[in-house]
Amino acid sequence: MVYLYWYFGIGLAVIAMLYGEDRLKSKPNSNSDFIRDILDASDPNRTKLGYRIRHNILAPMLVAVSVLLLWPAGACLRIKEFFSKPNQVAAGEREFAVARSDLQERLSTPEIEDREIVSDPLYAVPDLPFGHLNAAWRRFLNDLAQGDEVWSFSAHAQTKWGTTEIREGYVEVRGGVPGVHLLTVRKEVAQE
Amino acid sequence: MTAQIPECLLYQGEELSMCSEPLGDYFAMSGLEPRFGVVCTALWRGYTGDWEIVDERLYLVGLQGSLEDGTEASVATFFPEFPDRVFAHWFSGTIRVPQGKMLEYLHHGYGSTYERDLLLELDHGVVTSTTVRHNGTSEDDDAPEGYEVAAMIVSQRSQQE
Repeated sequence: MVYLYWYFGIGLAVIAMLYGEDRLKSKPNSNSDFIRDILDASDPNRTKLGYRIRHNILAPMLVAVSVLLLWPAGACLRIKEFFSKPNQVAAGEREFAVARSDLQERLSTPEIEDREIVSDPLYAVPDLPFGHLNAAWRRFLNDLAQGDEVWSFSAHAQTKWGTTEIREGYVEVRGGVPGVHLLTVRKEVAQE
Repeated sequence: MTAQIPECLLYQGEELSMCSEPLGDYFAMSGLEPRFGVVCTALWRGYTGDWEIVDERLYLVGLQGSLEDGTEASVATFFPEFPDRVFAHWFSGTIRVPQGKMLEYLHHGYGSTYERDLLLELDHGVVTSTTVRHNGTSEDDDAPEGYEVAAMIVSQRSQQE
C-alpha cells in the first residue's frame, strides 16, 4: 500500500511540474489575435459552453488522470529523448552542400552583382544586388578569403519530405573545393 | 502532420487559399530562420502570410504571427524598410490554389484533393504561366466547398485570455 501512495505521490508531483513548466513558458503575448481568429473561423463551436467544458475542464482532467496513472511511461520517453538528441538528424535531412559537379561558371563579384539586380515597378524591393537577399550576399562576401573563387552552381537536392528540389546560386570555391553557398533559386521538381 | 492552415492570396479580385509558403524559401535563403511560437498543430510554421499578385508579380502584403519570445510579428519585422509591400523575387516554383469541392480529405499538410487546382508557375517572383488542373468532379452535394482544415490540437497557451 505504501508503494501505491509513493506511485501516486510521484504522479501528483509530475502533474505539478508539468503545470509549472507550462505556466513559466507562457508568454503574455503568445495568445495572438490572429490564431484566435483563425480557430474561431474554422470552428464556430469554439465559443459554445459545451466546447469550453470539454476543452477547458474535461480534457485537462483526462490528461491529469493519465499522467497520474502512466507517469513512468512519460519519464521513459523523456529519458530516451534526452539521450537520443545527438542522433536526431535524419538520413534524408543531410545538410545541403554544393558538389564540384554542380559548378557552372566562375564569375567576378561585379559580374554577379550586375546580373542579380532586382527591380520592381511598385518599388517593393531595395535597389541593391539580390534585392531583399542583399544582406545574405554581403555576409557571403565577408566570408570570402584571399584567393577564393566564386562560382555559380545548379544542383538537385533531396528535401526532408522526400521531394527533389533544383537549387541554384553562388558558392565559394577554396582550393578547388566548394564551400559556403548562397541560394538564389529553390524550386521543387514536379513529380507525376 | 495535421492538415495546415493555408496562406491567403488576393488574385484577380478574389481572396484565395494558397497551399504554398514562399516566405519559407525567404527564411532559408536569407539565413534568418526566425523562431515562431507554435500554438496549433494546424500551423506548424507559426505564421500566416497575405499575398497579392499585381501585374503578374507576387507581393507579400501582410503577416500574422508571434515569435517564440511573444513578440508579435509583421511584415516590418523582417522587411523594416518595406512594411506594406514586399516583392517576392526570391520565389521560383509553383503556387497551388485548390478550388471547387473537396474530393478527398487528407489530414496531412496540404494533401487534400479538390475538384480543381489553379497552378501559378513563377520565376523569381513573376508569374510565367497559369494552368488549371482538373482532378475530378464531386458527386457529393454536401461536400465542402473550398479549402478547410478538419481538426487540430491547440496548445493551452494559445487559449489563455
